[in-house]
Amino acid sequence: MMRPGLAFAAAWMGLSLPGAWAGPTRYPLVVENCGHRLTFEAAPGDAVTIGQSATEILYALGLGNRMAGTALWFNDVLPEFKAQNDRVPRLDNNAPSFESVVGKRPGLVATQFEWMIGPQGVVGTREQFHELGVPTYVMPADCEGKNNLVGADGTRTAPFSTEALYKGITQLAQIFDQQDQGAALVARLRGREEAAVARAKALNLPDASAVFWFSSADLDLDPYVAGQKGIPGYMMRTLGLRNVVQSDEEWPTVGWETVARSNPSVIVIARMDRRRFPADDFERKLAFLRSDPVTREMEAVKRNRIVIIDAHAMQATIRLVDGLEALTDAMAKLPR
Amino acid sequence: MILPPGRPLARLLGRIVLHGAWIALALAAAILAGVCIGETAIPVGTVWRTLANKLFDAGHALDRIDQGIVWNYRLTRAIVAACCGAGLAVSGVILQSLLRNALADPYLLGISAGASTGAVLVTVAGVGAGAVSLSLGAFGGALAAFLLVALLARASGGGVGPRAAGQIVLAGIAGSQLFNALTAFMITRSASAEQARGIMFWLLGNLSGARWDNVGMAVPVAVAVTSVCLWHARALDAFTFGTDSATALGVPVRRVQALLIGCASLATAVMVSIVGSIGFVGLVVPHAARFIVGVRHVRLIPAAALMGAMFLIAADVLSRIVVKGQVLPIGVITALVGAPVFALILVRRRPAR
Amino acid sequence: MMLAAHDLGWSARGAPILRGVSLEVPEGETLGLIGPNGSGKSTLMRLLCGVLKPEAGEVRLAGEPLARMSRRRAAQWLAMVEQQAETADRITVRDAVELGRTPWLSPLRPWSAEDDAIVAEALAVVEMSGLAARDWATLSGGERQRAHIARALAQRPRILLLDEPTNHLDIHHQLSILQLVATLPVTTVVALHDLNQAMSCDRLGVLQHGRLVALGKPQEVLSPALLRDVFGVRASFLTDPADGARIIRFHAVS
Repeated sequence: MMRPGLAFAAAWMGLSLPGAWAGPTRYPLVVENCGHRLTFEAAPGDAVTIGQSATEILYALGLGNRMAGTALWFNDVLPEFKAQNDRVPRLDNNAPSFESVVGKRPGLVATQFEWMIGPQGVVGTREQFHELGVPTYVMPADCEGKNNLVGADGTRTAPFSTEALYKGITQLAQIFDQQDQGAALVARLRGREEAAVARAKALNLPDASAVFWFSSADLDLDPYVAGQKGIPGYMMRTLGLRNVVQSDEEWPTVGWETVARSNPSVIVIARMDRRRFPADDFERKLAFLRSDPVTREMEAVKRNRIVIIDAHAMQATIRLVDGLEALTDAMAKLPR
Repeated sequence: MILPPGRPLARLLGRIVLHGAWIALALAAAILAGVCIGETAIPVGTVWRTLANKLFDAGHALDRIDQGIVWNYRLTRAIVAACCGAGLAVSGVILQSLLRNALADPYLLGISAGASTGAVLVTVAGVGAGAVSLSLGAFGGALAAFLLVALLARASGGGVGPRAAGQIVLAGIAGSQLFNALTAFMITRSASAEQARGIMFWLLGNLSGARWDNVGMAVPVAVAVTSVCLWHARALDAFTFGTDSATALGVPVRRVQALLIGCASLATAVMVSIVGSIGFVGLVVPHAARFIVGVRHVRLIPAAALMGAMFLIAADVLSRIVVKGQVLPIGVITALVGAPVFALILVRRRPAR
Repeated sequence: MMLAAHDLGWSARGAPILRGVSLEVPEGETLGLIGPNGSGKSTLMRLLCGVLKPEAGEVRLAGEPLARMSRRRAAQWLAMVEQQAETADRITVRDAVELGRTPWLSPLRPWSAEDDAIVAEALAVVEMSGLAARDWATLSGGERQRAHIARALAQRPRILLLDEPTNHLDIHHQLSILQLVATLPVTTVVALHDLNQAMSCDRLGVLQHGRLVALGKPQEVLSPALLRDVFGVRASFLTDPADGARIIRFHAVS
């Protein structure tokens, strides 16, 4: 599974978009986005973002002053963006209503997830917005190579790659005429990613494997773990770790029996601010791993090879690279 | 021609021992099959040696993970599945008999809806702030819903008589709707897709969390409820021609209804809180059992309990092996298998007229 | 007195159905209850057997208040054949008749050969022995009624309450059931529709608007005046030349 996956990822990177166009955007601009063609006569103002990733990308491009609202927050805004964020109204911590978004008369609505704006969008469909003359932009990481109508959290038809994230940053920078900032941001993230991958490769680990445990509906129940083609799957693949979970779903539930018997070298658990399930708390996850009669016998638990990574670094966000670096640090501690 | 009362009693005891023995054997075989078949392949020899180690201290050297999986995951899971299957099936028998309604099932009384409301309260709305588990919330919700439905049925004039059965069904439907609306309200108010999904998964039933503490809860409840119902087998038979007829045959109708419906509700609430709501067992298994052993409760109740237990173990095994490396919600399997079986029974037992 | 009702009253949703009914039935008697539709016959039957709890007054079985007896003991005394008791269950005739043994059985007093004998006898009495294995759903209305009576007989009651037992029967079975009821060594209260059949009871009680308006020997009770006042018919009395029995012929009041 590992070698074809790697080959595929390599091919993907080879074909990737040119990383940076410098200079001003020429309007009218036509952008292809998830099956929709968007035309911009000028850089839009009063943008509304849904999903923290899209929000923070616009902040990273320095566009806080061109935003009219944000929604769908998972945790606190990154400290460096706090000043920008304080000026932008927050429409809702969760899904905003259609009218609250449209009421801002936005020049663009950018969403991190298709389940917010898409064929089965909680907020609305893209057509609903387009009929009112409001363009919508869906982060390519959530629609390219992913079918959001299959599986609980969508199913990836092609493995995720950070190129999709970089493409989203680049396109947003282009739309807002911030191509220099966009190119610089992508170059910075790409540089850190390459460094982490190089470090991991240099370790030259024989058959190192991992499992990513996001959360569970209840502690004893089958956990939500990362599938092959999602973002953690990409992290493991590029760093040379074998994902013990075979499913292609984004976050499938897999029994502890399967996880325990596959005995991964590393267990990654997610830290998050959310507290809906007991297992959202990473301390509870740790306590479970160490007390359950089966999981406590796992190699990774006995030798304390448990890595705690922020849940947001397991999603298509600018924080993803933090996760890659944390995972590389953990790999460095594995026995050769 | 009066016979000494001792002889039928002795014969009864003999029958109990005989039938009890083969029922226990069948159950043990089913549980063993559930232990041997799982998500991953564990050799039968390992299973045997694990059981020998744990039960008889045989001291075989075994991989600790394999041994843990067999003893702590699979065995508990099979036992809990058996108890849930038996509990739900017996509850179905009771409700169908007492309410004189072939469509009655344990979820009719709003129990499942209440359980999901309780679960959502704990998970999505954050009641109890992590100290209360999903299952405890579900149990609380199930009991609250049942009490509400019982009160409503009483207030709407559910006295003795054929109308009482109708009233409790109507109250159950009203209660279910109310609790489903509450659940929907809370989910739309505060959930994101990821959480809603966790609850959905649980609503379709999930045996993966079954551990020894659940066994300690499920076994006594299943055994107690089955025994209480079996003790009242003749009273249940007397409901064949309705509640008036049962009264005339010397059955204290109100007391029996209250006791047995209470038993069915308790069993359902406990099972739902452990494994989520598993549909179709409480509806289909009683009909299947009736099809095989007839309507007399003295045979019907043990048959339904055994068939329910075996059905759920089989469904659980299937749910683990249909898709490799992934476990399907057991409710999906019970519905997929149960619906055609139900259809078959409906066609086969069409009245001769 | 075997069965006594004292000042019974009952109402449904505020509307009085039965008021101040008192009657006494000595052991071995067959008491007929007659009255127009809605006069309260069925309600009185249900009160007498304890399916309904009286709002006023009380019922006594051999001097003991029915309300204070356990349901089980009451059912060992009293059996009731309702007007309409149906089931969708797949049972046989024998299953239905065996239900009659319910008040005599318990988990510690299981079914015995004696119960088999009682059930067989009850089936024989209603001439249903040959149909014992028949599916309930395949029976005619009359056959079901006879099976219900057999169930009541299998209960081995001291008192038998029958609510219009001849309702669904053909004339042959109507007569044989009535004859059977008359010869049973039990105290019987039977609600009847056919006034000529009521003539063969030991005594008759007449209900009108929830009150017992007459109680006594059939010849005394069924007077032309009562038939006109209660049933709204004109009656002429004939004598059967075959056996000298009195027969009533009815005419509409013009």
